[in-house]
Amino acid sequence: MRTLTELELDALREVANIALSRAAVQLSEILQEEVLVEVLRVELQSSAQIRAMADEEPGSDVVSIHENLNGALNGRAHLILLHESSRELVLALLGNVPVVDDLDLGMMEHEAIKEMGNIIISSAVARLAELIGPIQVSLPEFEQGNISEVLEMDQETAAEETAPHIVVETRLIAAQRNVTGLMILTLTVRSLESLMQGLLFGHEGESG
Amino acid sequence: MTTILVVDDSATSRMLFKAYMPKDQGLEIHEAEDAQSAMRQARAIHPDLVVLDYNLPDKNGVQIAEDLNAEGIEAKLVLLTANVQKSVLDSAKAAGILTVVEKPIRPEKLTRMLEEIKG
Repeated sequence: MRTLTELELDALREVANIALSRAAVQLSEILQEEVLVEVLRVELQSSAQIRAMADEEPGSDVVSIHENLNGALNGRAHLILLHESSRELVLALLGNVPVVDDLDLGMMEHEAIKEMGNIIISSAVARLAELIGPIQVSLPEFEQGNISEVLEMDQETAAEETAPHIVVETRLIAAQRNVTGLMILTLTVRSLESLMQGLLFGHEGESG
Repeated sequence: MTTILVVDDSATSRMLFKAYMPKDQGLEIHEAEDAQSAMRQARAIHPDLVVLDYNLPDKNGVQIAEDLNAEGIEAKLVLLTANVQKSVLDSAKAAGILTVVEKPIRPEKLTRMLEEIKG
């Protein structure tokens, strides 16, 4: 299987930082506190390897919002939160709205988390689009389970069992509220060329 | 009385929008969760302002703006989205959308939006 060069790895870490910094600003606006960003790893993996990796993760109860990406980038963006973090975020998003007091927060939780995930993913994608060109995002999908379940590939991707994907794993941390989220981008290798081109030379159509 | 139609598939966003809009300005807020419902309501209530999310199940917010224009529904148009890609902003401008409010929804952003569209 192809491996990533040092230059490509460095470029992907930089791209992840740029995209996540924008997402962190949006999350910070929701939480009203500073949000830190860490790039945990950038790797080239097959679909089978991604699933195997997910199987090794502890079986924590997580919620995930994912959106499919098409256009200058192709793949999927996941925002994964421990259940406690997701509840903190819902409270931050809705907590000071008077009409919420009388509602069952649990009823609102899935819908609110989906919208919050959509805001964070869309912000990161918008920043990437400034570098490489328009990226269409699908509607957000909500999932709950362990990490292995939420990272399961869609049918189309699963069919390409040996096709490698770029996996970019990042972490958003809001320490005061004890909120931690993972954003995982699984991108087709074809996307790497666009990213490298965009990072090195910019994209005229989306700049500014 | 100013009639506003907010079009967003997220019930959370619609709720936050209604909660954060000023209460002392005589605003009547209607809701739609997709393009079909938006067009039906727009024909019925003739809103002064239509606030559109971009990513919707059936059409995107800019396409709805184009449909409203094509039907001669003369409402002021605003895009409310986290998808602030230049391609989206350019298409919004071309469709006659006056301003774009970036999510997350905050009270001060909605106040600024109302000032902008009045100006």
